[in-house]
Amino acid sequence: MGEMIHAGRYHISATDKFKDIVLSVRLMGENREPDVTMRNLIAQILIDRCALYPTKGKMTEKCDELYGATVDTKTSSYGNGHCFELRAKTLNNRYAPDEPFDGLLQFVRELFLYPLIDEKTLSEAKTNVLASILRQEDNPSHLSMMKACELGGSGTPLAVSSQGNKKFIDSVNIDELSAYYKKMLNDDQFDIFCVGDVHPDRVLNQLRKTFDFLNETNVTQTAYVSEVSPYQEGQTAKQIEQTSLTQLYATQTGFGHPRFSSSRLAIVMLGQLPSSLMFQEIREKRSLCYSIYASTIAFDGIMFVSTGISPDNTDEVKRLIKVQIDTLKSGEFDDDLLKMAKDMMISSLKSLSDEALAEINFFYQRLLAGKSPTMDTVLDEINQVTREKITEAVNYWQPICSYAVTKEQQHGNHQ
Amino acid sequence: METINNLKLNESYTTETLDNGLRIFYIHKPGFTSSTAVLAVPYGSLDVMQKLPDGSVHSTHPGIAHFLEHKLFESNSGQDVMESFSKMSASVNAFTSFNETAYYFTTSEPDFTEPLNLLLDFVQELSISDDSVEKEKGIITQELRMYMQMPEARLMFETYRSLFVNHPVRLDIGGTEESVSAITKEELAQCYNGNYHPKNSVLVIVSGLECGPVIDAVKANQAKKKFPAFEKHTRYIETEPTSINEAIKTVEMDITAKKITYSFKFDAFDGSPLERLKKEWQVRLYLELLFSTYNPKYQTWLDEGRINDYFGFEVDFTPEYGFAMFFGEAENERDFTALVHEGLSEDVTLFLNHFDHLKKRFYGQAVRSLNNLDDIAVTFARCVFQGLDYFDYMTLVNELKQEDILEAKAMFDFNRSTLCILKGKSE
Repeated sequence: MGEMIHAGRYHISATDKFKDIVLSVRLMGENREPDVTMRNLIAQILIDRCALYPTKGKMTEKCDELYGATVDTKTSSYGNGHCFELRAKTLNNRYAPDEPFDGLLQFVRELFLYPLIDEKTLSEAKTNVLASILRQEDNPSHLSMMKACELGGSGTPLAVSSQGNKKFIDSVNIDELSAYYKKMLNDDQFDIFCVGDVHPDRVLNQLRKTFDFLNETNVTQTAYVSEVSPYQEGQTAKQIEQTSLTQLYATQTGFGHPRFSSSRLAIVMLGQLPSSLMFQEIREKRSLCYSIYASTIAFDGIMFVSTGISPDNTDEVKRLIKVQIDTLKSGEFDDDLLKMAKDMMISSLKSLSDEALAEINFFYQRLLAGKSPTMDTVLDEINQVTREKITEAVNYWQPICSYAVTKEQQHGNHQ
Repeated sequence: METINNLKLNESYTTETLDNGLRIFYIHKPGFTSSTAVLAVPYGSLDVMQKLPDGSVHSTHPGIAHFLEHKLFESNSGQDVMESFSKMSASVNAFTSFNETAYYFTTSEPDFTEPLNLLLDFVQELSISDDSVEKEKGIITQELRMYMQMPEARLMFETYRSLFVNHPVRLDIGGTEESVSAITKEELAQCYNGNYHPKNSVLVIVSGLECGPVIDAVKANQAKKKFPAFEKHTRYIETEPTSINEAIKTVEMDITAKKITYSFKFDAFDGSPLERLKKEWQVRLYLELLFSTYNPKYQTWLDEGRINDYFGFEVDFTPEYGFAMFFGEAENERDFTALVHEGLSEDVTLFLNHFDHLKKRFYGQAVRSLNNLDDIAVTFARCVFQGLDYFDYMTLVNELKQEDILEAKAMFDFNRSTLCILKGKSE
């Protein structure tokens, strides 16, 4: 770790331990509608067909010729920013005789420069984006999370679903989408990562040539801190047996803030380890759930808790979650828990270098936040967290929303 | 100790079987910071009926293998096993599948032997109380409910139930709320004793650390322990008819996106493990040519709205059963089956020019899977249980010939097909 070379917006990690070379092209635009819906439509179209490979069959054939190269797109939110990522992988040259990475770069350039945005591809993209949204809504725990963000983050980027919005899909037309795509290439902040068995100088030159159509001076603001809004509760009724409960808290601590590491560690202590307070109290001691965890939407300054429980136990579980957070606020937790949280987080960070995409994500977040992109800095920050700092950070947490996707009330029978 | 090399994949593994029967496999991954160890037994949800050494058949409650997996995390010293791993900066987990139960941890700490000893210790000793068995039932019930309200998981479950009449693959891995609530400490102990023993276990370690000291640590751990004589319980499967269970099944859920599977039952395959794997690849490549972008009709199907990008298929061949399953989101289930029939009636020789492309793709995928330590460890353990050499498993696709896949067409019998529909309640 720490071997990533940064040259402007190009970031290269040369290592021969992986079997493949990973390329990640990230374009950061504004996280607002209808932009996000259009970015998701483009994400579908860009890897569907292009001028040189005008059918899906030709696209697949090209990827297969490159030893099963994969080219995927992914969209995600980073606070005020919305990231459009094209991720491509192919075998490194040791395992494939004809240097597929060079071919992959040419292919990716074709995709970006000559996408086929027409009636057919747009219609197909609309179908797929809509189906993907409906699929998420059919999953109670996803639905609970989406609804909580909409309710708790109303009027802020938190409420914007990174996968697009049903309301805007239909109205997008080709001219609008083509114009937006041009704007995206011109205005978005870009970052390009390459991890694998490459020669850094050579690959840097290749990347600069391949992506010469992107503007290196663009900057998109991302992290912000959600304000503490009045606490709200919401509910969606479905014909299900288990309640999916999501609770959101404003941490009042932005990504990279001096309290950030303490707040992050407190989340681990609350609900990311088998020894975490919620897991021990709510699952292990009381058997009230199978899954309960806490996590963060770091670029929005949000901590959330998610669980699946019996409808009858909802109030009790909410009470118990609050008790665990109060334990962190009061500092009445075991030294062991803090030590375990630190050790596990450090161990997890050290292992990032074993997974190319995890390493890329780590550096990307640091770069976006304008923080030093070195692992040592992060490890130092974690090591310096004390009980007092945990208590201070958690005392800034404020509940802003609780959302339950729960069983429909049974009406009495009329016999 | 023996070391097997594969120069093409640039990988090797070292293997040794200890005196107590434990088989160890060590895959050295230079440059990797993390280490993963998996201790697995070939005991899964399909082992719901087992033949005992005296020849009698013992029936257990569905979900017992999974229940046992939950309970092993309780140690006899009263310590919380998961917490102990956390204290060692190791992340532990486990899973139960149809055919095996596996316990594994990952750590990036240089002292790998401490959590490795803990893994061996907690899996190799059962310590449970009646109270803790009762307490676990509430947790497992919530787990079952969680999966049952995930549309994809529910669809798979219902499809298995439509395809199979007797075979336990039709049972949920976790059992039912009723079967789980009926499980007792004694039943768990009996299943543990008949299936958990070094002779019936495989330890796979994938690590950036050198092999020698780690294997020595395993030997030292095992040398301290005494195990009772082991008489393995073997899986007992009631005869499965060749016919399917239900031709059409409709299940209602509170969803908006209707989901469909259309599946074909195959005969169980009784050849060698490698032949079975080859058969699976034959069918997979055959379907890949007919039902993917290499078939120009695929685009027409999308354009006409008969499928969307969720469409796909799965193929599974085991010594006990086999099937191919098409899945999709579509409004009209009859049209979905018609589409599958259209695809299967295509002349696959028209697309054989893409055969080598597919081989390159799947070879590339196999090589790339060697980046992930957890994947390597689990796949390796499964290969051992299935009697497959790991490297043969990884490279078999390269051995396939065009004529091999022509045999696949004859396997699809429309009289042995089943349609499973998951639809919204308002429809």
